[in-house]
Amino acid sequence: MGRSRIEDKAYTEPHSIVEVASKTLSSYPHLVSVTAVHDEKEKSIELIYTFSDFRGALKNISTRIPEDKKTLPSIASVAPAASIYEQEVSELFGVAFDGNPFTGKRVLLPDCFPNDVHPLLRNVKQEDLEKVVAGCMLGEPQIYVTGSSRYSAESVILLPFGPYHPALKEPERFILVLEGETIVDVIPKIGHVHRGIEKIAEGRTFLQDLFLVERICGICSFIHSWTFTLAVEELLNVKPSKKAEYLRTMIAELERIHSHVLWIGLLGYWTGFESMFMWIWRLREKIMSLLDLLTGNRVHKSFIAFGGVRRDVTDEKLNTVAKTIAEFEKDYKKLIDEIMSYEPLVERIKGIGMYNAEHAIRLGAVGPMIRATGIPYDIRKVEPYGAYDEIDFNVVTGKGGDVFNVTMVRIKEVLESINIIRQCIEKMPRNENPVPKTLVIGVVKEGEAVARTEAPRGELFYYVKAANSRNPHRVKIRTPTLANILLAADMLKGYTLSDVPVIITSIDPCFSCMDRALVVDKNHNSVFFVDFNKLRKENKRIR
Amino acid sequence: MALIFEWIERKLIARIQWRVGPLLTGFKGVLQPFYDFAKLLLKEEVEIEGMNTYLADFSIILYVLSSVLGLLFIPLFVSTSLYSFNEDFIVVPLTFALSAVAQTLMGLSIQSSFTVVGTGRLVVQYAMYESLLLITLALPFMQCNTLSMSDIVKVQSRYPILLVQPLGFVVALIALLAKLEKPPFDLPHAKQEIAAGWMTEYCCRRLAFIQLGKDLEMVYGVALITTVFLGGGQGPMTYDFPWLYPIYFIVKMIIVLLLLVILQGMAVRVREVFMPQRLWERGIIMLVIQAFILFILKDVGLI
Repeated sequence: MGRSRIEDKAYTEPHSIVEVASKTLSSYPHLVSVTAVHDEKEKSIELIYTFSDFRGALKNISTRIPEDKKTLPSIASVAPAASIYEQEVSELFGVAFDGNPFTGKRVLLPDCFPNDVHPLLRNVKQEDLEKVVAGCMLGEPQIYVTGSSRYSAESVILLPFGPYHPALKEPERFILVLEGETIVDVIPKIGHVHRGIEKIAEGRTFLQDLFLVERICGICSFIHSWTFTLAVEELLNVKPSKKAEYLRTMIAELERIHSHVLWIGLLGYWTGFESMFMWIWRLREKIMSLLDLLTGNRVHKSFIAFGGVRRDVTDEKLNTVAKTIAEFEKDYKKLIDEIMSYEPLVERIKGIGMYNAEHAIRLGAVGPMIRATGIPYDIRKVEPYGAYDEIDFNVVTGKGGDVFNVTMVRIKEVLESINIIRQCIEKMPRNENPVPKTLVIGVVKEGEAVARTEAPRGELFYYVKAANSRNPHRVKIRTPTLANILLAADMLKGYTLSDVPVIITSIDPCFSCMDRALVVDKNHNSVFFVDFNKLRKENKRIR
Repeated sequence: MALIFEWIERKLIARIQWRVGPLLTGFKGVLQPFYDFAKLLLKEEVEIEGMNTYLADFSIILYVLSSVLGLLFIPLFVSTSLYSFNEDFIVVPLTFALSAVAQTLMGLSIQSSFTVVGTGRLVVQYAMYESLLLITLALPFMQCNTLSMSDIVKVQSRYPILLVQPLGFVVALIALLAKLEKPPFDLPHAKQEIAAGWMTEYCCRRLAFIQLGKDLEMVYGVALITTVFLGGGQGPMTYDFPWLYPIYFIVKMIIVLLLLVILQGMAVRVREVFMPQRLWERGIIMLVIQAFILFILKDVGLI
């Protein structure tokens, strides 16, 4: 569970996709992802639309378009969430979607990227892409400040919120159209750290990819590698031992605590309550040192392996975890009680960024965002993976969408995670060996698999296609932030500039993937890539 | 003195937030603000396209000088200041206005989106805090029937005005936070919303002097409140040993600073729309009550 091999795809003709999609949406209201796979032998691109209901059933609808005529009607009219997924496909594969609201804009790739290069097509080589990117970095810098010509009147101010902005942890751009202090429109532009992890993954073996996907996110790194592992294990028909399942669950929950606590602290920072930020982050250190104790690293844990975990955890360490978690729970409850009873803070977040459940579903929201409206959609419950089916826990829901409810959902989920960790330690079988005999898996037989997990930010979706080789044929990643971004931009309208940081970040945004450093040397008019060995030589601190 | 006050403030706010604050430069990091200032001075000045450099330089000088001008009229070392004249309270609104004008000019000498929004917020905020701060400061002078700084210090040799006007003191502290753009009223340069607001485009020497101006403004504000509400350096034995006067003065200033820092540490930034509500609805009511009490006491003849 949590993973499945794609066997029953419903094939349709490209021109009837809108009809089929609208029919499917009545029973499967949540559009999970739009996956495109290029087949260079058959000279065609396959598009897989994955739908799900809120009880764990998945439906895949597939359609094929020829390589030389890449047009297709957009389903954004029936499922608004599709607009951003379709735009991603259209930029990376060059497929044109008729009627997509983003058509003609660049959302993911840099503005200077040439229009005729589509990076994820199989016949585009990675080395060539590096040259293309390097060439476009040397061009004149693009200045984004002016938005669309609709807002040329003097009464409005176009305020660039990002890409580098003190409120955002990662680069991301929203152009805010202000009338006085009120926001009239928001123009988003994401993908400032788009590094083409999906492309790189195709050029590496499955084992290397396990470490690559972990580096997509610096906060929820473990859940990425776990989801990838779930999909690959499905292709390999491997089942990890019980103890490994429990250990994975425990690490994932520790990571959820650390991610949520990080977010709650940052909420203080965004509302200008810096003391709260400092207090809460101090608590979080306890969890970070637990992760260090269990896996050997604080952030990129590299703890998982196909068919198990990479190292065993002794009983002694488990006892330390139990003790520290109890301490953490006590401190956390006390601090949160004090903070959430503080009137000015509650006033700042209550009733800000209102949205309703229907709207959230239409825009494809996932995770705490959708649970705050009262829909108990949690992959851990509806499609249990790991050890979640043997653990007794509640899905936390809120009473209506706004920043306050999202905060309360996250606060309560931390307590629920503490409960899960405690049960993991109690129920874990102690005498098993969770480490698989070999880490290397070699050639993987042909097949397609999808995996879904509940990352701290919401539903995480992976699609892996293997084609009898050491490398995957295609890895598709749909992160929860991409699903939530449309809702975030929509929530902003009508609120004031003071609310922007709180609303944008209420989805807990996280865009990051970086594989290597790109150095631009303006003086010598050259661009070169630094690989790890060179970095190691130049910088003695990296060993 | 201004920079040492910055160090005290940074250290205290760090203590509230479970941090250590400046630590390495000098004893417990006491030299850190000096180091920051010197470092900014040594940096290469960046000329930004479209910046009116003359206006920027002029307004920065004006900003620093406005607080210095105010400090000249405050009796810091003896109960009569060097430049005092009979109605020297009149200088206070002048200095407030000068520093606000200087800040506005600084913001507008380069017109980027951030500075424009930041300056807009600054002007709105100035319109709100100034009336409050001036009324709170005026009430003690009304109590003493004088307009002179030295007189108000002398009057308080028996007891500080704080005992009669506690509400006025509280409002003065809050309005001072708004004037100094400290949390919760740091809207004009709320970094999570509009980067550094009106000073987004400044760096290097100009930024160094803006920081110095801010520190001086803080010292001036704190000194003013100390003089008006706490009786300046008046205290036990000052009549016999005049050298105690500046010591008392500094101790009292540090106490006022501590109160300011505690208020800051607890603060959640107000939303722009709540500004008038926070400052006026509560502040004005407190002031009216304070004035009422004051006039009754005066009528009865207790003071």
